[in-house]
Amino acid sequence: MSEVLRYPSAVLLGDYARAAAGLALTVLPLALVNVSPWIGAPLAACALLFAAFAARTAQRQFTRVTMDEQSVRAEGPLGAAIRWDDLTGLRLRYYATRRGREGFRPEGGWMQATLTGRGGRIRLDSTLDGFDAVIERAVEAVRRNGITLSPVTVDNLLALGIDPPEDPES
Amino acid sequence: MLGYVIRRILIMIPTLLAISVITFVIIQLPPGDYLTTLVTEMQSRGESLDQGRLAMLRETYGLDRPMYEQYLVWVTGMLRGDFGYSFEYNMPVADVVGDRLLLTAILSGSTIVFIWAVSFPIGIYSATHQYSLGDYTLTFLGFLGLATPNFLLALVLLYFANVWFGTSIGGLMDPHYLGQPWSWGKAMSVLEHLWIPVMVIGTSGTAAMIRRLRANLLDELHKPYVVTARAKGLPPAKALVKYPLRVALNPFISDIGNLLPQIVSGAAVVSVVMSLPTTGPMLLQALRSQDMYLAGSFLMFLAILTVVGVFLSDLALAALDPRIRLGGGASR
Repeated sequence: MSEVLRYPSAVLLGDYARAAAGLALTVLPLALVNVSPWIGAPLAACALLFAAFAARTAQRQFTRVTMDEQSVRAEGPLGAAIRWDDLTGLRLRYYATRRGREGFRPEGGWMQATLTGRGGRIRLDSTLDGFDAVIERAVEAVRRNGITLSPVTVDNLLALGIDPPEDPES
Repeated sequence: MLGYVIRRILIMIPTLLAISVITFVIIQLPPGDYLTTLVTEMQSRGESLDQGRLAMLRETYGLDRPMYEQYLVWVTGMLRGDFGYSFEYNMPVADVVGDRLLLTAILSGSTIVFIWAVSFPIGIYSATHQYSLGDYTLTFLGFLGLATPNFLLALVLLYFANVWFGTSIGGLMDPHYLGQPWSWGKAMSVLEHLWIPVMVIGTSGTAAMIRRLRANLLDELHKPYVVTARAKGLPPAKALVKYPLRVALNPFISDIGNLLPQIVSGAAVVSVVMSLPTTGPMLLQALRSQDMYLAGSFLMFLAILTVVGVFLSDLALAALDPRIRLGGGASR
């Protein structure tokens, strides 16, 4: 049975708001003030980043992630499909805007998973409804396919409460 | 990663705006303004300034306007590259500052490279040879470096350079290059003079970094996964470099943001002692004389260094070790 997953509208709205705020903070000074090149260059670079972020949010809005026993598919713009048997890599990263000296703290952060396989690459954020289920299924595939995970991914899996597979190289 | 960068930039821009407001308000907090200080100084010398001229100067410099108006003029001016007017030097701040920002950036950048280049191997050696003669010696030197104020080290070096070699090691370039446009000769002269202030300013930072790297690496080296790796026969160098060292490096990366402003502001006193043409001495003087646009511009420069430094170290950390840290700094 296949599951269809989407990014919640509250998350998408938040990202659109961030993109709009960023564009306002960077494009308005560029448009209204005769900005010096030293300040204009970083502002323009930031404006491009915010525009790219808005485009990525739109791409997520129109993307539907479908998962079943055989594969995971991201349907929509820049979509891809990976069969679990063809999964060659799983990377799980954690980002947070708060951090201590040793690394990122759990408050206010989010995970980003990158699944790679013969069908391409699918990148998912933990804000996706049913993210944990996708990762659990991916970890099963990692175990079956004998893939080595990085220590960062292993630690982040443990933080999610998912037992990582044994390292086949050890 | 894009989402992370966006969130960090969105925090960075309002932070800089807030800092600019706070900086401006703090500079304005002492009673009076630059002209009040000027009049007091003139009165102490027995001179006087007539009230009409004082009012005209106040109007010319915009000091009669409300604070928020002065702030808005200053901030929008900064966007245009106009940092305001220095009352004390009677010329635009950008002209007063001249090479000083660039020289400060060169000095700070070189100091950071020095701190890392020296503390990295020593920290690793100290941790991997704990309680050896070398570790004790380096630890002693580290504490000595931590305990010695930079300006004192500068004074000692100045004295010995003069007594032993009969030369002055002050300044950041040969005197005839001061105020001259950049040339190959001037750049070489800066490089020749750079190593002494870099050593003086970098000593305490190096000592602190050695202690921190040693402590972090020792923590990691005593963890069960390292013991297991060794028990399984992993070569010692690989058992050190592959995971423990990488984890112990996090504080190195995290500290970029803190290091930059510490070096710039910490170098102020050293710059006075060693006659370095950096921003420090000018900032001190500008704060004393309430030359608000000059002082404000320097403080904004420091703030931008801090915020951009923290941003870069966050990005580096996100790229190198994007793992969650649960309670007590340990990952579950």
